[in-house]
Amino acid sequence: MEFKYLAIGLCLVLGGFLLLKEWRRANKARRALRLLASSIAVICFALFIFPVSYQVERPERPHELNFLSTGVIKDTVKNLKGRLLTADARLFQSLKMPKLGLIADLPYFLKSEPEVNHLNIYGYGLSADELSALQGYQLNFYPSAIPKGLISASWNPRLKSSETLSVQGVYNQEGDLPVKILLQGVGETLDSLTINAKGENTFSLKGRPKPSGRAVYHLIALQGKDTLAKEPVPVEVQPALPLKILLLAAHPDFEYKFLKNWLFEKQYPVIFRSRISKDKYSTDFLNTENTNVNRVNSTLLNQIDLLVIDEEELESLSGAELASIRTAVGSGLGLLLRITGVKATTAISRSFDRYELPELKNKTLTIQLPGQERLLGPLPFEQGVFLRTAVNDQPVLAEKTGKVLVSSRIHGMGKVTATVVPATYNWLLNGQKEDYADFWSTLLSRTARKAASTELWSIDPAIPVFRQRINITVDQDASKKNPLISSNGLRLSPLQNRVLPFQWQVSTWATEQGWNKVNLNGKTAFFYVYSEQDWKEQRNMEKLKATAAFIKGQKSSINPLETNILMKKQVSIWWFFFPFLLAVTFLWYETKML
Amino acid sequence: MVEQEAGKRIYSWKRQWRMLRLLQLIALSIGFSLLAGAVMIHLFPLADWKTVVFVALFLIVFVILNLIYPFWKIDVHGISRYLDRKIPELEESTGILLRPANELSLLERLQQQKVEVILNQIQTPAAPLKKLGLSILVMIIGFGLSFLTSSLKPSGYTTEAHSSKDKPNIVKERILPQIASFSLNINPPAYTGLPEMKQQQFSVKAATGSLLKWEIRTNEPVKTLKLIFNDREVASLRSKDGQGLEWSFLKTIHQTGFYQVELDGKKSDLYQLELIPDLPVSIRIVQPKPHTTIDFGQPQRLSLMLHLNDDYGIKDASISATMASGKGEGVSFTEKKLLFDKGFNNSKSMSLSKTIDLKSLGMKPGDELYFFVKALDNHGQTSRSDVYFVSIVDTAELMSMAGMTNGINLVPEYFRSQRQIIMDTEKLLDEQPKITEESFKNRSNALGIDQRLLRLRYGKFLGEETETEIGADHGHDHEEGHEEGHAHEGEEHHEEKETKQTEKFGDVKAIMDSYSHKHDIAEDATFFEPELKAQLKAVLTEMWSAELQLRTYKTRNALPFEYKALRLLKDLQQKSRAYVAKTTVKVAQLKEEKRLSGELDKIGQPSQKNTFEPLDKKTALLKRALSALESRKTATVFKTEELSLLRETEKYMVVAASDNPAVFLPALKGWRKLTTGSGGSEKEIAEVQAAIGKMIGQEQAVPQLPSASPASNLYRKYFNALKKGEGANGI
Repeated sequence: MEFKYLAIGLCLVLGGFLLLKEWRRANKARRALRLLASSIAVICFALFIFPVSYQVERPERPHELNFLSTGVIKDTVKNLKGRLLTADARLFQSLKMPKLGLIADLPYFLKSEPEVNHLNIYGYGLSADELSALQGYQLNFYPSAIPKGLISASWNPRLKSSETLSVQGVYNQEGDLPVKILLQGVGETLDSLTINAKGENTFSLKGRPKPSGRAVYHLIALQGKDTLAKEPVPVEVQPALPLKILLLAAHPDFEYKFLKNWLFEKQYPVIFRSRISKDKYSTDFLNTENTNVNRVNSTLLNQIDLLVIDEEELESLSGAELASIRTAVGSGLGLLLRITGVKATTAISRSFDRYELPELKNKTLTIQLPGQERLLGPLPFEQGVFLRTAVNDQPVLAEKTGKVLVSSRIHGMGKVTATVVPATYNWLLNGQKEDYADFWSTLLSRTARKAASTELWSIDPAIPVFRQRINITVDQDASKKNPLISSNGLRLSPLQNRVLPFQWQVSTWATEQGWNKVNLNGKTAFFYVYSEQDWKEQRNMEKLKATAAFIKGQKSSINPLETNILMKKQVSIWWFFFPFLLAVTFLWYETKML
Repeated sequence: MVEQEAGKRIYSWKRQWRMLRLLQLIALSIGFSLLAGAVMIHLFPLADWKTVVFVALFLIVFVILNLIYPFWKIDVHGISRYLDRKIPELEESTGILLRPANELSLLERLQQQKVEVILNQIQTPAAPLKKLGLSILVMIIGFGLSFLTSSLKPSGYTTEAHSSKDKPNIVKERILPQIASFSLNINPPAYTGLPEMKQQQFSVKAATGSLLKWEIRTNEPVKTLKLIFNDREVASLRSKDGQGLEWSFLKTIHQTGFYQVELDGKKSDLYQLELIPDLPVSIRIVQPKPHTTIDFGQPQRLSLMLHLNDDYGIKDASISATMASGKGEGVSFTEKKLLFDKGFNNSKSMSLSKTIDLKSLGMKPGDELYFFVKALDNHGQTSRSDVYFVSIVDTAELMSMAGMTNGINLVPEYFRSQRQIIMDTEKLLDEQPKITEESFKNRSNALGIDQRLLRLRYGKFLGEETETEIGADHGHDHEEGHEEGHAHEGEEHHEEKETKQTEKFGDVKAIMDSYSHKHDIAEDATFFEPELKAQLKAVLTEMWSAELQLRTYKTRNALPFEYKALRLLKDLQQKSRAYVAKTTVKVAQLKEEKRLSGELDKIGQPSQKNTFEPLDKKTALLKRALSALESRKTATVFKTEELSLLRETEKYMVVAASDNPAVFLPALKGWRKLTTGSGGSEKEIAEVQAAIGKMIGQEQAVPQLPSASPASNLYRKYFNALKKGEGANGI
């Protein structure tokens, strides 16, 4: 302050002195002009030292906040006005913007600043549980472009032995070079596929994992020799549960013989009964104890999972036997009917409508598995009879032109499947064991009684990351009992669902990377915890979707409150410099030239 | 002494020029030899002999250039001539300067003085320097190009040759430190003709039956030294010197696998024993085809061409031929061994050819010959080719009417005509010397027309365009036929046609037909199956050719085509027949008293019980081992139960490695490393896992119980309520 006045005083003295000098000058020509120039010069000089400032009013949004999340590109945010914040330390470092502030956690931060009620979110957005804390805020979302690479994938992580692992997902391809996606692990490549088209490509890879137990496969994206991504696909393989099968034959034939032997070698309990004459049977008890199978009754049927019977034999069963089959199927038994003729001869088989086509010479039968491109090897006979599927029927297997050979329907809790394929043992004779196995596995697995598990569990999120919170949901059949859950040796206390009494929920933390153990009512289950580098793009995509969905679900946003703020503004000193320069130049030029 | 000065100048030039020429030649030859050498090294595997190649090339080029431009032949006279030519002021008199002054005349002396002045004034000629500059340029270019070529990759074949020859022999092995030196003699069996080999590595790749001799020298006395083959067979070595320093062992190997050296209980790495089996001779017959039919008119000869290949040598090869002659029950077989008229001399690859004269073998029309080629390699292994068939068509059989007298007759009338044409042709050929050229030609042409008519008739069956004026403009041809007075069988038919023709006179439709272009008649076209049609077409082709020959008076040449057409027709006719041989039926006597009694009490109810005991749990164990290895990837050591599992599984690995060491031995080595605790990178584990995966093989689907979510009371209640509400559907 003092300096200011001192300076002004000095300037005044200087001005006075200069004006006096001018006045006294001998040359009186252009005195007025010179006086004016001198005073301008001095005034401007003074203004150099103390520039003029003025106040303006400007609208501002004090309750608004710009939040930058992962995936933000610098160009889109560098001109943003208002407060800039991020919770991503890596992003904070890479952007290098002076205005940007780093916070630890957005919900926590918002709690500390209650006046903020409007958020602009940039980048891939926030995860679902972070978003849940933003209820009541006004949100705008400016999403980044969809991430590149493996943006989505899902697979069946808990398999039974010989079950197919099927990995499906979306790959967002960028660039012109084709990308090869491999499903690799346990020393072999299960499947691969090449992606050429740009943009989002769905892929589906399949294979049968060989180990029994836990294994980590990898989904690898290769471009030339560059590995673009290598994401873990953890899989747990458990031994297959064997089926108890009852085969009832009107007469022995090769089809039954081969099927029986095949199941026998797989160590499945099989009872085979073939009719010799009226009430006379030949029976084989394979891998199972002797029981009386001369009469089909509910005790017998309750012991088995699947009944395979041909139409002729079904016809010769008594009414009581048929009734017991019907009740057994109603309560879960699987029934596989072998149909040969066009005309239905029993009430049970009547529901499968068939039709006949004229047989052509030298034709073979080629069967296609559902959902697979592979055709099974041709069977050396002409198929004349086909099934006509009704509304309630599900076609299981079809001939390659689409005529249905095997179809299935639900009856009560059980399933009834009918097949019109008369002979499949030709595959075994031709050495096509795989085709035979595929055919009968599909048929039997689809039809057999479902084994009810005592508990079922799932975790959320599906791809948990190290140090993330995990919700475990357990369904159990005993509703009166608390489930015993312990994770990594620590007993957890589950919470019962209010609406569904059999469902229990518990939260825990992913404390260990890799396989984690969960103990469920004394049974050990495993889940895999991923490192932060795994499935990054997938998580980004998930965030993108979650944020977009969350914002879409919000009520239409009101315009943010604007408040006027007074701001000081300085006049640029250039405005004073030029008059000063002109004035001084004039004074100098005048003495020299004029 | 003026002339001396001038002479000196020329003499000094001579020295200078000689030096320059020499330098020029050296530069040129360096340039050329560099270029040529680089190209040679690029094309041929001479990289190790670079300097030798360069020096040799340089010397050659240098000598050649010297012979062309000898530097020592540059003399003062040559220089003076050059100067005379180049500098007109010297007035062709430079030579005078070189002569001693006292020999010169006055005039010459005057001229000498004049020239001398001029010579002292002129500049040193620049020509040799320029030449030197050019040759240095050549040298620089040579350098540049040689660098360029050497920077290029050596051409393809050299690398291949190198990699295939050198690489497989160099396998890094870990040898026990106690072994000071060793050598392995491989003595392949004599028949292979391979040289004896000596190698400094334990991994063996040798021919089956080779005798191996190990000579091992240790650097400290060792009590026992054993060789363990395939983890089963243990061979104890005897010390040669009794002190335990020198050991040797002899073994003939017949089985692939692996082995290891054990020194006082210390086991070495596993070494591969790979055997190259001796394959039997491969026989490839180029000619003839598996089935050959020799038609009438074709030479009754068979030319056989084949290639034989063997890895060590072919000892012998022969043709085993069987002739079948006769018909029905009177078929007789004669076997013959035909030899190739070429020596074999244990050559590895041979191309043989032989012409078999069927007549000299005693084959008649209607006979068949079956033959195959047998070859013997020098190890005594025989191999034989497929059986090939050759048959000679019996024309007499074709002419017989046997097939047509009974059964349905599809195309009888036309068929006869083809036979007739053959008979007529043969007759005409017989009569050819007796009749005039003119009438021979006429008859031949007439036969051609008959053939054409026949073809057109068959063409009708195929739906070919019909010529409705059949016979209309050939009236005289038929008359000619009448004149010849042959008893045609088809003639009646022709006559019929003619009468029809006359009847048609005045028929509007017939007239219209002759002007309209009618295509195939739909009804005719659908008479036959496609297969039959194809054969009919073949018949027509033969008829076409026969007609061509007949109408160009090459009557004799027409016969083969006619016969072939007849044969095809006959085949066609046979095709429409099914033949079932007559057999007698013998039925067992029925015991009347046992029938229809309806008593089942004597029928037993057989019941079998069986439990499948798998012989070994190989697959299950291997699968669990895979998983154990998988968990090892994240942990640093195996757990105790995992280790015991791996020990149990190792025997399968050993068996696999001994059967197929090239595939499984590296995995077994990795396995051993893992179980002993050394090693354990993810890559090594993956390698072992891959090998186990191969041992498990293709995974097959198995039927299994589907699982359902826990059946809580709530679900049951819903289910029952739904069931009640909707009533039973389904069955």
